[in-house]
Amino acid sequence: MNESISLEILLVEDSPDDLELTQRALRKANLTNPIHIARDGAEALDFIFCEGDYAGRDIANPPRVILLDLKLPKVDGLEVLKRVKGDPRTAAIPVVVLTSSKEQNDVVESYALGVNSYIVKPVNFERFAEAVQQLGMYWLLLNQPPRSGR
Amino acid sequence: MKSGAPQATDTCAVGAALVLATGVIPGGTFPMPAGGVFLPTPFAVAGMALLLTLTILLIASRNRAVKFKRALADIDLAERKRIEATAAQLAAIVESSDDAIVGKDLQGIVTSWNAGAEKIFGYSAAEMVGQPISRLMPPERLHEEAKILGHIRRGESVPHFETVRRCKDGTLIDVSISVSAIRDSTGKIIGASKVARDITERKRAERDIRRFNVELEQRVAERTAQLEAVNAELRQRRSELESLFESLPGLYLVLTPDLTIVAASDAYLKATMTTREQIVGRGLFEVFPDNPDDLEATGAANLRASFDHVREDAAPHTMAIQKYSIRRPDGTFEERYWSPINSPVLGLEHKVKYIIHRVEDVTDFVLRKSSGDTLGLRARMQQMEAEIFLSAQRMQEVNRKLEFANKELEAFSYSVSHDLRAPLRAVDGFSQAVIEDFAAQLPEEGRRYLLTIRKGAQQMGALIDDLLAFSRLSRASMHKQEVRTGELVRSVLAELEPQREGRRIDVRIGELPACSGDPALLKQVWVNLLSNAFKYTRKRDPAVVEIGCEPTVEGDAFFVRDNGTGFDMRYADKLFGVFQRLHRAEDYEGTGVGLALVHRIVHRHGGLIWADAEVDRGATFYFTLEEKSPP
Repeated sequence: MNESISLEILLVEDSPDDLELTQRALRKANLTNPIHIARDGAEALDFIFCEGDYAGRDIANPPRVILLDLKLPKVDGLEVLKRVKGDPRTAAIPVVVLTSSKEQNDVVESYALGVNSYIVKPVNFERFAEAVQQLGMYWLLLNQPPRSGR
Repeated sequence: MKSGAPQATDTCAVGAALVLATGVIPGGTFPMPAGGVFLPTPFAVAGMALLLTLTILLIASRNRAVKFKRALADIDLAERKRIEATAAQLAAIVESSDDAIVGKDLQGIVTSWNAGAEKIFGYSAAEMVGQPISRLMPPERLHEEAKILGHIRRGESVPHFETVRRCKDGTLIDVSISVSAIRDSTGKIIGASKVARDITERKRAERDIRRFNVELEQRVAERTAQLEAVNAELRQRRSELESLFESLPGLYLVLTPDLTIVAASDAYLKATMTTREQIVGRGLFEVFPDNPDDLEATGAANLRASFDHVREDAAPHTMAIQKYSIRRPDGTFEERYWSPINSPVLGLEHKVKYIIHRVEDVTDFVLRKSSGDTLGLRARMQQMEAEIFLSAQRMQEVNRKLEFANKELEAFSYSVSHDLRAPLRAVDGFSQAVIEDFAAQLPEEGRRYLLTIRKGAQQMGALIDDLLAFSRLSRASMHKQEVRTGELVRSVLAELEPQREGRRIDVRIGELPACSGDPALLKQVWVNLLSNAFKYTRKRDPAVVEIGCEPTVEGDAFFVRDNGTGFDMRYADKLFGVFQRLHRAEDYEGTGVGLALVHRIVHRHGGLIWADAEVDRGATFYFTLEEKSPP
């Protein structure tokens, strides 16, 4: 497997504005890893579990990090998080919740479901870019993923 | 030898032959010739020859006969030996058998008696052979022998005939007897052989089994009777309890957790104009619907809410007076007022098993009040009570709406938090993108506008955040505990260090006694008050901020005093309102939520907050946490 392919970021975001801003922030942070975008929870699950349109993907080649919005059409972010963390094949993928919601319940529940980081998207773009850069550095560069069993 | 009278010749000749042949002189009377010399005559010679011939013949045949006889005797012996061996074998079998094997003749006299018979009956063969078999029979069984012999004489055998026999020592034993006829070589019946087996053990086992069976049946019958008695008693008690419950003077209804009616007291049935048959087993709200013509009817909804409380808390819930009209048998509704208490009956694992719904019919109280009947003290008392009931009912209704509104607010704040911020992010983010990517093409004025747009978006974001924090405060639950105020204030000051950067601020901390409150909420109070003090002293150098606790008319109060810009006390009433600001945004930034938040927190702790200020001479904010008591 080509190493660069396994450094993929899965960005799950329904709002086109936020999508563009997040991509811009990642770019500004010099995180040039391939980004795969899912526009709702169902598509995200298909990609992660290699089902539906992504049936041809290899589940043993997971995204390096999942950036997950919570409020999503079809299947919401907490449900996606629950499925990813509840399946031994995918539980090791770092999931960063990136959301507008400051609701305590969401934070508590995300952590209960095993989220790796929780970032409230600030209105201020510079601060948002800063947060994205930090989490990108951490999860993509510093954090060593567990060796896969291949 | 003596010569005598002459003998008949043949006799003489035969005798001579015999003497010659045998050497024996029969009768010893044969006359011997004188001189001992037997002189032959011609007649005598012929006779002698004949005699000799006869004698030889006789001897030859005699030898054959002897040989024959000997052979016959040999055969006889072998046969006898064989027969004897067989007989011995049979006898041994008979002797060694555990069964009694007895032979008897047709008169019932014992002819043989084996060891088995001796073992079973105790008599030896010597004692029994020649004795009548009837000796073994108890008197009441003597008739059997005649019957048995009758069968035998007719040539029939008697197989496995169970009877009783008496032993030598007088004990009676159970035996199984088979009797068959003995015939001689001509087939004539000459007696009987009897085989008897001791079946006393078997009989005893059978009797034991029968007895056990009988005992078992008896025991089962006894247990059944006992159970039936207990059941009957339970039924009796149950029906007693039922009738006790039914005749209780109060109005009671027993419900399952899903509100199916299980039982009702007579008084309840009477008050609601129903019968037990009509309502038991049916759903409560199916039986008692709201009056469809009364559009303001809330009885069913309130009652349902109360049951929800009972189920959730597993604790009794007292309701305010309810207007809950009752359907008359003719289908019209009668206006009624009730005072209900719903209590859970808890089962295993603290789960609600039943709900007891107890009501009082207070229609009279309520209607008398409405009718304006003002007679006498007692009547007025009742009227007042009724008013209290009614206002309690109204309050309950308000509470219910409030609960609902709170839930709606929660959902509302969630979407505010999520959806309102998203477009602001777009406004801010894309403005920034324009500045970054197209700065060169923008005139200075255009860049300034974009910065203003960003500032506006960020201000809006701050407002939303503060507003959410404020609304969350009313929902958050309080966890009071002892709080060390001094430590709390010092940690807040450390946190606010960035706000003091580059400024000379003289922070004076006085005595700060411990207090009781929610640490997170109290921290918010200090953060807001101290931030304000730093903000509004921005134009002072050095700024002085005093923190402490001092006696006031409201009791000992914490205070934060600054030498800042202060405010006009004429507007003090606006100080703690949400979004209220006493300063221009360009002078002092802010959302107008900070003090409102502080105000609410202090109030939730049962305390008071007030301020004392003078324009340009600074401000002091005081707060207590519990009314009139030292904080």
